[in-house]
Amino acid sequence: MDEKEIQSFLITSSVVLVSLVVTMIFLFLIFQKRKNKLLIEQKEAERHFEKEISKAQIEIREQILRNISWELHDNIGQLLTLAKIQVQSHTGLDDVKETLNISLKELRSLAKLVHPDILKHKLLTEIIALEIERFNRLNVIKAKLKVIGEPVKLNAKKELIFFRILQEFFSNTIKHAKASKLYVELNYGAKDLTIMVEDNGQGFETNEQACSGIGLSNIKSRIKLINAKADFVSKPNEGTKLTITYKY
Amino acid sequence: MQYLPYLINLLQLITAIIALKSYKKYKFSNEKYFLPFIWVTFVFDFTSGIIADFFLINIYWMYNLYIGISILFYFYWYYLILEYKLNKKLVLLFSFIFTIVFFLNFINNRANEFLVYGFVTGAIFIVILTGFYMYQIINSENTSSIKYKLSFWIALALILFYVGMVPFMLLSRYFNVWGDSITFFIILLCLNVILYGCYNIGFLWTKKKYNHF
Repeated sequence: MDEKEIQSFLITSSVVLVSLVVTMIFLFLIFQKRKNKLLIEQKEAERHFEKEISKAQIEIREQILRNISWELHDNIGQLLTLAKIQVQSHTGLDDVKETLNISLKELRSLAKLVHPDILKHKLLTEIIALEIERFNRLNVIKAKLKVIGEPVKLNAKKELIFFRILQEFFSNTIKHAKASKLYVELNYGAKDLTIMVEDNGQGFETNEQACSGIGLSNIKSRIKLINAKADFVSKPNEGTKLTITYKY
Repeated sequence: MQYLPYLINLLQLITAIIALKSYKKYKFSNEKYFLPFIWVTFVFDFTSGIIADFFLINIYWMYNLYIGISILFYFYWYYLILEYKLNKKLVLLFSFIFTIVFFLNFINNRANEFLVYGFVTGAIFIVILTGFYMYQIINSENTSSIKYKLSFWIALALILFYVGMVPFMLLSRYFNVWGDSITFFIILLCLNVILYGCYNIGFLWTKKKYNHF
């Protein structure tokens, strides 16, 4: 190789090498930046999830407190008042005893329902069953629960969200829908869980803006949070039906 | 020295065999066209090398034609995998410009030598299209599984090869040492090792489920 050839080789190879290295560094930096961005987004999503969970937890507790207050006032309170009237009017002791027995039974059911560990240790089906039982006991609505397949224990946080969604639905049914029947079906399939809730209340237009007022948007955002799919069907005077599908 | 270029043919053959062996991992993707492409490249490069070496026929015109077709093949592949409509239109525009430049370069090639300008035009376009594609996969949902995607490795191979080839072509033309210098062959070999190395990492590393999109 003569000197000119060496010189040209050195120049060419260094230019080629520099272009390669610059390209590699450039690509590496872009990918690194994107990766960091993804990580930050992931953390953000996790935080959002935790926040939503604690919000749902608080809402569940509030609802339970509301239920207790309502039940104490409307059910046990009434029974005790009845017992007092019976004592005052000198009704037979057996009748008073009977009334007090019913009160005690109701008190026990209530105590069972509001135990703080209830959400932690029970399956979703059991908690819903308790809720349904309570509705029937208090004669608020004729409720029925059907469980198909073998219940699967889901992630506790997700069960909490599911329960909150259903609780909200029930409370809407009782407060606004003027329904007489409530039907809940939990279908544990091989790959997914399908939850169907239906009432025969007055329903509403699903495209109305009023939807947001009764917690529909809340239900939707929560369903999105746990990667489930929901189908909301409601028509005036034809009741409301919510179907949630969740892949394990 | 005379037989050193066959090292590149050996690289092509190895890549073609690996591509064939892992074909089932990418047979449903747009990268499936690379299997026949690599085999054709190998067969063509090898036979043209033999014809040139043993029958001493100048076959640069044939070689140039092949380069032109292979660059158009890359354009076609980018046309398939780029998602934005604007990018697809740019591929068509690039193909059009490249074909014209290459054709003019081809018919004016009196000395029957390597078509530097046509090649450089195509190479720059490939680098730009690869940039678009990299941008597309970086912003897709699957950034974390990118190393299992064959198209990523092919795009990386193309960008590195052509980024190196452009200055190499222009400078070797400038120094006028193309084709008869072992030192220049070494640079060419290195670039080919990068090209086929990336291809092979892609073929070996790719996973079937990442090649459906």
